[in-house]
Formats: sequence, structure tokens, C-alpha cells
Amino acid sequence: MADFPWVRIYHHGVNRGGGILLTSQLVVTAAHCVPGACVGHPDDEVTASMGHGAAQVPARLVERLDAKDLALLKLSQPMAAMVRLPWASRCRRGDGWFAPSRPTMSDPELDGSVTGTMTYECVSGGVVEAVQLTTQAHLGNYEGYSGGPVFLAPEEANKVIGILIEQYPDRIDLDRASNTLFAAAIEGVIEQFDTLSTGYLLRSLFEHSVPEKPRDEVRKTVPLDESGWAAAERAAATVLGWHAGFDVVDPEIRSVHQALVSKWVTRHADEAGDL
Amino acid sequence: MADSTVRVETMEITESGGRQIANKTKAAELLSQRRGDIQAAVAEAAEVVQESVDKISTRKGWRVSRVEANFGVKLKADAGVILTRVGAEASFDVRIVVEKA
Repeated sequence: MADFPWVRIYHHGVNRGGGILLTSQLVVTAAHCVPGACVGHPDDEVTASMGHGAAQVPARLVERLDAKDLALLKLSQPMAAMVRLPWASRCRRGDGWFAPSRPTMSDPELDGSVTGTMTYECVSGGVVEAVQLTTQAHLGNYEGYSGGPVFLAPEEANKVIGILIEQYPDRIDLDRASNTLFAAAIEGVIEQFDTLSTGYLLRSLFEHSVPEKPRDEVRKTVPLDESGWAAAERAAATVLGWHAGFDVVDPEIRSVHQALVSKWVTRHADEAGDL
Repeated sequence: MADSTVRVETMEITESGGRQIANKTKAAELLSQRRGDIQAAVAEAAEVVQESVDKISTRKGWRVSRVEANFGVKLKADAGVILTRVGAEASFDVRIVVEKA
């Protein structure tokens, strides 16, 4: 079983790549790991497993952004009880990184150093904020690593900085990859999905069986159509305030609540200079 | 050969130029079902090489009498063929030798 919150993504039974659990049920991966899958696909088309050899759980495609090569999946059942959910983080040139999601148990884990952060044009045409990585393992081809999360070293920090999307080819021998990889920066990834927007998360939270009192409190604090970090921060603070005495057992509620808290924590860590 | 069980490996071909790093699907199809694709690809490539020989003119008493071409044939998973460099994950490596008749 994996110690980190990564999953393997299967499309039509083929082990395509990795993904990262943002909450107990929401998984982000590269869109090209689920080619052709659309919202409302059959239950057995996309599945995910925690680590190699573990049972596969059906996953529903929630959103896909082909140009930016990102996809958001929702697992049919929560998984995160088995792992530590990550802290979203940023990185600087020279930071150490590692990617625990490897294609099979026979493949090596990748690690190396951050060589830059930049605005990057994906081969699929979209522009994303990205992290450029140099890997120590010269494999010549990194197929199967796509969608997997990239963590900052050391491991204990449990800070995720991005998800792998592309390799850069050797410019002399185009059939081989150089040891330069690109990951979509995690903060930019979260911002891309409507499902993870503050307004949507709050609406989802309220549409479930949440007590009226906290609903009213949050409504007073944050207009539901407001987005951005400030709204997330105020909403999360309010929600956290009543959550301490409210046992959230519904996976749907827990999932959106975790997403809100994750955004709130990221913002605070950023302001405190911890990123 | 119609009931042959010989299979040939086919590959998923993407437009990413090898930059996207999801696992690609590899499958096997009956060779007999892809015979037409392979034959058409080799014939067309041979024709191109042959025509190039015809277009080479004689210079100072010398003429090119023989041209060799090596290429790979990569079978797409859905349908169709891509000609590649030899060894570039090709299903077949083909060598064509064209000589002046």
C-alpha cells in the first residue's frame, strides 16, 4: 500500500499513469491518461487503485481540460483514510523532489532537483504554470509516470508541488527522452477546475445535510458567487469553526470540506513564507 | 493463410510527439487482417524510391544504377500504417533495393 496519496489510473483496464488524491475521493491526473473518456462514461471505463496490486475502484470523470492536459476524477468510494493527504506547496530552483507513483513495481521511483518554474505550453496547446524537473534516473522514456504527483524532499514534509505531464525529448535522438520533465504546478492545477472553485465547493457543502446554523453563518461571511483565496480563507475559517463539533460522516461532504481546508491551508502557508 | 493465427503488434499513435508520458496501449492483431495495410505501405514506399532513381540523371558518364532504402513499418492500433526510421518501435524493418532495369 502506498504511504503517499497517489493512485494508479486504469483506462479500459490498461495501467495508464498516476494520479494524486486531493481529498478522500477527488483525484487529479493528466487528461491524456484517460484518452477519450468523457463525463458520464461507463463505470468500468476508468478505475483507480491505491498502489500496485490493490483493488481497483471505479472512478467518474468530473472535468477534463484537454488543452491543459488535466483531468479531475471522483472515486466511487473514499480512499484517503489509508494515507496522509498532501499539503499543496510551491518550490524553488534547486529544491529536491521525488515522484512515488511508478508505472509498475519493477520500475524505479524518480527523484532529482527542481530546475525552474515557468509558464509552459503543453504539447496539447494549453498554457499552464509548470515546474521543470531534472531526474537522476536516465531512463530514455518516462511513459507510465504521467499524472503522478511530485513531492518536495524530504518525504516527511508531505508537500506536493505538481503532477507530471510531459518529458522533453533528446534533441539529437528524438526517440529518446532527455532527463528533463515537466509537471503542472499544483496550485495552478487546483485553480483550473470549476469543481474545486470556492463557490462550487461551498454550494456543494450546503446542498448536503449541513445544519442550518453554520449555513447561515457562512452565508453571512462569504457570498457564494465570490471566488479566490480571500473567500476560501473566510469560508474555511467559518466552516472549521463549526466543524470541530460536527461529525462529518457523509463522504461527499467530507470531500468538499477537505478541499476547502486544503485551499485555506495553502493560502496561509504561502502568507507565512512557508512555501 | 486466411485462418492464420500469426499476430502482429500494433501501437497507439498519438499526436504528442512522444512528449506525453502516459503508458501507451500495445495490442496484437491477426497478421492476415493487416496484410493489406502492410503491402500497401511497402508498395508505395518502393514506388517513391523507384521514381527517385528515374529522376537521377547521368553525369559525366556516370549513372546511379542502384538505390537502397531502409525504413520501419509501424502499425497503428486502430488502422493504417506509419513509416518510420528503422528500429523506432517499428513492427517491421524493411529494406528496399531498386536497380535500373
